[in-house]
Amino acid sequence: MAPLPEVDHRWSVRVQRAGDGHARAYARGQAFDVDSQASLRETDPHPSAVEYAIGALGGDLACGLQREAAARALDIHAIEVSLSGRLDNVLVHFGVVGEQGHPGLAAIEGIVYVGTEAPEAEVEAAWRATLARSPLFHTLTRCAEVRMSLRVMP
Amino acid sequence: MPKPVVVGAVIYDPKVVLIWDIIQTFFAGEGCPIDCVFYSNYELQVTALVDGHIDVAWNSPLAWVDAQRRTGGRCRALAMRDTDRDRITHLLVRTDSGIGALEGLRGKTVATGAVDSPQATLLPLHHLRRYGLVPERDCAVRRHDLLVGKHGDHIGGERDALRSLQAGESDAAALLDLNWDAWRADGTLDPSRIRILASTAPFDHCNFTVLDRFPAERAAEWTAVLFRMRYENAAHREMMDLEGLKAWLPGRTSGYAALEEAAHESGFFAEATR
Repeated sequence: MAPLPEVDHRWSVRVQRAGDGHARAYARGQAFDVDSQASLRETDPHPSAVEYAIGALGGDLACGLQREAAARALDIHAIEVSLSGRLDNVLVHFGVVGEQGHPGLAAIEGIVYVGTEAPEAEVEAAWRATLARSPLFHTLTRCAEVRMSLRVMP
Repeated sequence: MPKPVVVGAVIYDPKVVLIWDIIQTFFAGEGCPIDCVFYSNYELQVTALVDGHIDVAWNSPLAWVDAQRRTGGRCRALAMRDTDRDRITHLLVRTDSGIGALEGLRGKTVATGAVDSPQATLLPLHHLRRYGLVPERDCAVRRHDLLVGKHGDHIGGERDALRSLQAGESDAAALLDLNWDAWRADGTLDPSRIRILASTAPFDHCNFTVLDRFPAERAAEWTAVLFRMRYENAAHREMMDLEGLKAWLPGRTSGYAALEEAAHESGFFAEATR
């Protein structure tokens, strides 16, 4: 009798305290440092957890669009995703007594700039397919208002 | 490790957290650790001070008056910024208004900040009363109640009051001297169109408040560390620029009498506790 097919997969990440309040995450052979939960400082040695979350969405969409474009034989010169996000109430995260709301991401907005000579309608079709197959877009839209738009530039 | 001094602060902007991060790091480095507790409004902070949840409160002038009122005068002011001393509020009018004296505001509309702003509401309205104009009877008051509870720590109410004057919706507007200077410099207001009609007497702004039960030796150690902050030190300057000071000075309480009168005559605390 054949074994049950594997239709599920779990990704594993290990995270350790790395001193000075930051953490190091290990995923397969790679590591990355998380400086804080959410930082307002101009500079830090590493991105914050909130920035990783927003950046992960951008990375997911940039990689996804690249794959969809390749599958459609669309010649893409460049993809750049510009994102910003805000918490429902950042002061709750900072522990301000008397503040209302929650410290979670409330909204993410972004623009995907695509440099291509390909017909715009075909790029838009690839973009729709990208969103439909994006793990992080589908995760984050369930808990935050996510608004992404596409700009096609020759 | 010595027990940290617990310091309360009201957060009117997320960036204020950075100021306290720097202060906390500085005190830790000086061997006098502090813990910071943040509050959304001064009423909560004064309650925490009175109830002993915090040792030191970074209080607005109105919070100082409230703390004194609620403790029967058992508060001490440990320190304040150089810029907290001798502030004044200007009453502004349009240069083409034809209003040459405070009496000219009779029957007119005066724009102020939030209901609990000492500099943008309570003190300028007190000034009008001293000169025989009773607000809401002799002149209308157009209040700009932004972020009530934070005692006008932010510029929002004053900015809206100024806009109201500029737009012709009001005949006068109250503005702290520091904002008058800054907004003339950055073009927010044009001094050829807006001029000062009158100014309040000097008053003092924020201070670090403790109750008399806070041990004197701990207070002395804490203020000694605070006074070691130097504007010339780049590591301290970032925080001092954000908080708007060049030096920490000993606290004084002689600059709050007009605000006490203003709060009393306007029934501010009677309304707050209703």
